[in-house]
Amino acid sequence: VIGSCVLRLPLVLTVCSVASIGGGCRSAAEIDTSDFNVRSPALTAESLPQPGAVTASLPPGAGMDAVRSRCVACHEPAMLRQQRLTAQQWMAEIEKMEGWGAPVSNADKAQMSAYLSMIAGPDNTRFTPATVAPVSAEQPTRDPAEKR
Amino acid sequence: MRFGARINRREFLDVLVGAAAICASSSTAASAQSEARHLLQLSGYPLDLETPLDALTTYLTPNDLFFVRTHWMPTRVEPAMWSLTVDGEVSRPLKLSLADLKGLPRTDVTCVLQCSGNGRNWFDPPVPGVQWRYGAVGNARWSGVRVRDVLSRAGLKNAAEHLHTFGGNAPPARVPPFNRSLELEKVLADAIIAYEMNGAPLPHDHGGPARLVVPGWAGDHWMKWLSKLSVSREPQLGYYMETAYKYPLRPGAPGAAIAADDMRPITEMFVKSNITSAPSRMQVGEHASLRGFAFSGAPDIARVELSDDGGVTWRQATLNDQHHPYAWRLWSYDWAPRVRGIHRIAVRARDSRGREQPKIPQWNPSGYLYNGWHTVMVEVA
Repeated sequence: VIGSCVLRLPLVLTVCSVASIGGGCRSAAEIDTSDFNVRSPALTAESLPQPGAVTASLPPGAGMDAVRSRCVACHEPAMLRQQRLTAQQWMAEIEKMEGWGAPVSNADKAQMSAYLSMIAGPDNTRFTPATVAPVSAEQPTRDPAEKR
Repeated sequence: MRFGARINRREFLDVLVGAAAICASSSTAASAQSEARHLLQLSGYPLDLETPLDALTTYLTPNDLFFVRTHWMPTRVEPAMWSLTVDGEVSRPLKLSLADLKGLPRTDVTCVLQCSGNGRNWFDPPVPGVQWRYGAVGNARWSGVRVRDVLSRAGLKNAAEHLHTFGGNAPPARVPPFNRSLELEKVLADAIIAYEMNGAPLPHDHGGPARLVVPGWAGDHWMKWLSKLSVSREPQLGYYMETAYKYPLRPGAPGAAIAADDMRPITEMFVKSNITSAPSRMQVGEHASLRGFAFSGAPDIARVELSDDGGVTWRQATLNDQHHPYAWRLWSYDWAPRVRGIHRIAVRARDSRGREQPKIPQWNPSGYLYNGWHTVMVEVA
C-alpha cells in the first residue's frame, strides 16, 4: 500500500498540473463545490508549468495524424480540446483555416472533422484549463517554433 | 505543504484531507496563502491565460495575474527600438520613440480591461473560440499619453472620422492581420496610449512597450504592441473589422445564423458582476462576507444585488468607495442563512445608465460579452 502511494501521489500531481488531458483530473478535492472555480490541490510555485507550456495532447484515433500535422503548428492542442462543436461547425472552422492557407485536402477535411467532433463534440465536458505560473515581466520570449 | 519524494500512507491521507480542506474554505485568506498564485491557461500558443476568480479580489489586478489574450505569436520589441507612426488625415505625420511619447503630458486612467469573449464558455449552444470562463477581465491603472494630445501634434484634418490601429501581430500564410479601427469621437474623448501598467513598464504579454487603452470598450479595441495609428475618413476594412467582433442588432433564436447586415461592431461592454469570495460550506447562524466586483461600459455601477431564492427577491450589496470612471466597483454583502441545505446565490448589477445584468444574456454567433447572473452554491449545515 505504501509503495503504491509513493508512486501514485506524483502521478496525481503531474496529471493535475498539466490538467488538460481530458477527464482524468476532476475529483472532489480539486473542484470547488461552489462550481465557479476550478482548483488544483496545494500546488507550489516551483511545481507550476510556465505560461506557454504545451499542456494538452491529442488522443489516438482516426484523423489524429491529420489534425496533428495540419492544426498543431498554429494551435496548441488545448485550444482544440476545449471546443464543443458539431461536425458541421468543425468543418466550417477547417474551411476557414483552409482559406487562410492551411494545407488540407478534401480527404483530410472529412477525417479531421470526424476526429475533432469525436474528441471535442457538443457533449465535451472533459476540458479543464491548465494551472500555470503567473506571468513574469522578465520571462524570455517564447519561440513559437519550440512549440511545434 | 511540501511534497517530498517519499511519503507514507498517513501523510498521503493528510495531503488529500488538506486539499479537500483548502477547497472547503476556498475564500478564506488562509487558504489563499497556502495556494500558489497561478493563472489558468486556455492555450499555450498563441498565449491565452485567464485569472482565477478568487484572485480578482483587489481594486487593482496585479500585472502578473492579469489575463493575457493573444491572437498570434507577437515579436518582442525592445523599448529602445520601438516607434509609433502617426499618419493618414493629418498635416504633420509623426514617428515617435518611446522617449518622445514620455515627453508628452502624462495621464493616468484606472479602468477595466475585458476580453470581448470573456464567458464564451457559458453560451448554449456552444460557439467556437477560446472558451473563456470568468477571468478574462481585470482592473488596472494605465499610464501614458492621451491619443488626442498625439493627434493634435500631428494636426488632425477636418475630414478625419476614424482611427486605424496596427499592432505587432505577424500572422502566417493568409491569416488576416489583427488590424482594427475605432471612431475618432471615442478616441478623442478618453483613449490613451499606455506605456505603464500599475506603475511598471507595460509588460510584453500585455502589449508592451505601448498599447491602446479605450475605457469602457471591450478589449478588441485595445491594440497591443502598438506600431501605427492612421487617421482616415472611413473605417478600416478586413476580417477583424468586417466579420469578427460583431454582435447582432436584435435577439435571434440561439444557434440560428444571423445575416451580416444585422450585425454591428462591438463597442461598449455590458454591465456585469461576479462573486469572487464565498464559502463552499457554512453553518446556520454563521455570517459570511460575500464579495465580488461589478463593471460596465458605462462609467459607474449604480447598484449590486444578491438573491438566494432564484431571483424572486434581491438585497443590495455595499459598494466600495474606491472608484474611477470605467473602473470596477468592489462590493460586499453580509449573508446569514437561516435554513440548512444547498443554497444558490446569484448576483446582478445595474449601471449608471440604468442597464441591468440579465439572467441569461442574448446568444450570439461568436459568444461575445456574456453577462448572465453569476451564481455560486453554498452548502449550509
